[in-house]
Amino acid sequence: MQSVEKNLEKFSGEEPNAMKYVKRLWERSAYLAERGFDLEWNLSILEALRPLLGHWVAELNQVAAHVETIINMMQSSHELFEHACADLPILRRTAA
Amino acid sequence: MFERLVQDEFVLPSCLPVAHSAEEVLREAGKVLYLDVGGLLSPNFFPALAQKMYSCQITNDSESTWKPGPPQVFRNRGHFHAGTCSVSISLFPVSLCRSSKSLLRIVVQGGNELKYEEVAQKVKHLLENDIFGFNPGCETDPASIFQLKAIPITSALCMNVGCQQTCSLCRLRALLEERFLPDLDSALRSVVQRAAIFGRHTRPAGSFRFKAMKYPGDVDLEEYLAIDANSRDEALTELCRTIQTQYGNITRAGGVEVFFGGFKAGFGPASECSGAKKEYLSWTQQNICSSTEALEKALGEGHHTWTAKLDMFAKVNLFLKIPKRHLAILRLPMSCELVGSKGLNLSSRSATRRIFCSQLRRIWRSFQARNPMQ
Repeated sequence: MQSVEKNLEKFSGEEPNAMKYVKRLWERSAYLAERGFDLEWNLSILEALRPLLGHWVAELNQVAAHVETIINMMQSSHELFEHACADLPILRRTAA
Repeated sequence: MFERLVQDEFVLPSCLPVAHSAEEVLREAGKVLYLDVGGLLSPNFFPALAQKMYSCQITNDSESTWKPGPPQVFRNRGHFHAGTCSVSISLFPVSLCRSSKSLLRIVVQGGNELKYEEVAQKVKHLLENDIFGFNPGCETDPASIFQLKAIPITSALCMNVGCQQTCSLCRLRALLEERFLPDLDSALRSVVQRAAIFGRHTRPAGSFRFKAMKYPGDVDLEEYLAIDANSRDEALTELCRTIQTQYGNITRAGGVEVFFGGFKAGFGPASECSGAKKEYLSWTQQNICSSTEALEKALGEGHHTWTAKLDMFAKVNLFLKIPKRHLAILRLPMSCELVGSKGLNLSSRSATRRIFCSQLRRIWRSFQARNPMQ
């Protein structure tokens, strides 16, 4: 929860990221609902968020995560750079 | 049993971790049995149990096969069912108090009353002989353990009469359906097993663990470690040695090429100045092998709320049944929590409770004032 709360602040402030914010909202409500805290309220939040997690926006976010992974690999080492480059055609297909 | 628990298996006091769910009220008469586990229980016992159940579920479609119940994230209870007969295994609340003893409570409900005693005894026997021992044979064929036959199927699963999957718990269960390792592609599973120190107890974590996340960006995993040592320093040395052996030269896993992305633990020198922002250290494979003392110190300092975080890259498919999305390279963060089973229990226990309580207080304050509607 500590980490989720921090991320909620981060993704709605210094590093805005709507999809990650939705995921953290989901995690918070899941955590609380599983423990019986304000069950009905958290259940309604989960039900409201559910369609977003299967939305094309979420799919686009997955492509963005792939890009982020490739960038991280490229910045890691020369060996990883080449492997990351080999992944670009797949990225192009999934993003199309 | 105590000896069996500490043999080839990590164990933690039953006070850990913090996710305790309140015991459900018994809605109808059932058979209740108690099993003394000597004060020690793996924190991943219930999730591991759920995983075994899930493996059973997807390998055998028989209606009498035991299946995992709703959210298996709680560290104090597990639930599984076959038809209308449900078995709930929980840590008996009294054992969470001062006593160093832990009692597991086995409750059998629903189904045929005549079978209560038989089922309860079978479950108890299974826990004693198979689960706590984590017999390697059981890992490969969990169905053989949990195939408790002769349980009649008479009505719907939910114990709420007339629910028809509409009550809050059923809706919550449907929303929070979880992923287990058997859901992942086999190549990815082999990477996970290679990346984990105790592979059998690693499981999806964070938002990734929910099936509702149809398009996860990476694979998040979490692993609890317990180091059997006489002091914190000794435990750190042991953990350091394990990490060096495990990740010092990791290149392949089950035929898949694996790339080391980075290992994060400890703080940079600038963080030691008062008022300076904490700068987390990142380790390369070479650094891990060559700087033993520094790594021990870093592991002692930890990374955020974990002991360490490992990033790996592998080119694999994501899920078993959804080959459509080919996510080429995945990041595999793994977190570890350092706890020694000797001498460290009390401090870890109180620290964990303190964090949980302070977090609850913060949320309460937030709900009262800053975010009253959230």
